[in-house]
Amino acid sequence: MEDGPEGGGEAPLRRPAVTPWPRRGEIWSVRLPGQPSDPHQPRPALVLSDDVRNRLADDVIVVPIFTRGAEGPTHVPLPRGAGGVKRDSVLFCEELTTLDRDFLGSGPWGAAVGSDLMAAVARAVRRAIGETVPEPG
Amino acid sequence: MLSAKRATRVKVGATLDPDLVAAVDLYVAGNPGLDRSTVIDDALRLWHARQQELAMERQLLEDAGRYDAERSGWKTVRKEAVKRRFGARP
Repeated sequence: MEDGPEGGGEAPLRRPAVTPWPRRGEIWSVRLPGQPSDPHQPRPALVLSDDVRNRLADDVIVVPIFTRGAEGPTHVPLPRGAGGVKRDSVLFCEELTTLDRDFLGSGPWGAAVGSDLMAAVARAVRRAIGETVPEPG
Repeated sequence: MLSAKRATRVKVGATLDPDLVAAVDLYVAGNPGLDRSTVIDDALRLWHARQQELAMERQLLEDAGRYDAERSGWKTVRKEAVKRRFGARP
């Protein structure tokens, strides 16, 4: 039974036009599509979602990057150079966000950040959702 | 034989309040399968949860009202993203 103009029984996977696709651990600029004059953008973000999702889905899970931030359980320092950032920054893991791929502007800024930093981000996200997660000894 | 989890544990010495130790021993005696280590693990988890909670409070209070330009930028992005994701659905 056909259920769409192209026929076939299953909805086609939505493939975004944006290429290249973002990889987990990379830093990309985020902007409001169609509003280049917004004074607050673009803002950098770390891609946290899995690469299968990043390649096939039309959205990505990102962690916003701020230039400063209080030390705390859900903030992860991002040293200058990591992922291509030009200054010491802070990942606000409590502000984890899912964005359509067309919110991503330029990127990646550099190579993906290291696995230790990604592990620290994962711990901070778990704390943000209420888990008690000590730093590894 | 030690399980893998048990093998990664650390043995420490500590000087504790004798009344608390007696309370732990009483609890362990009434609950077969438990030992002092299990109870002290639980106590430390609770302690760490409280420490994390306090640190979270400090972080949020320290951040309140700061980084306004960056926050406002992200809020705008998030609002637009949410509008797209949920706004058009019945």
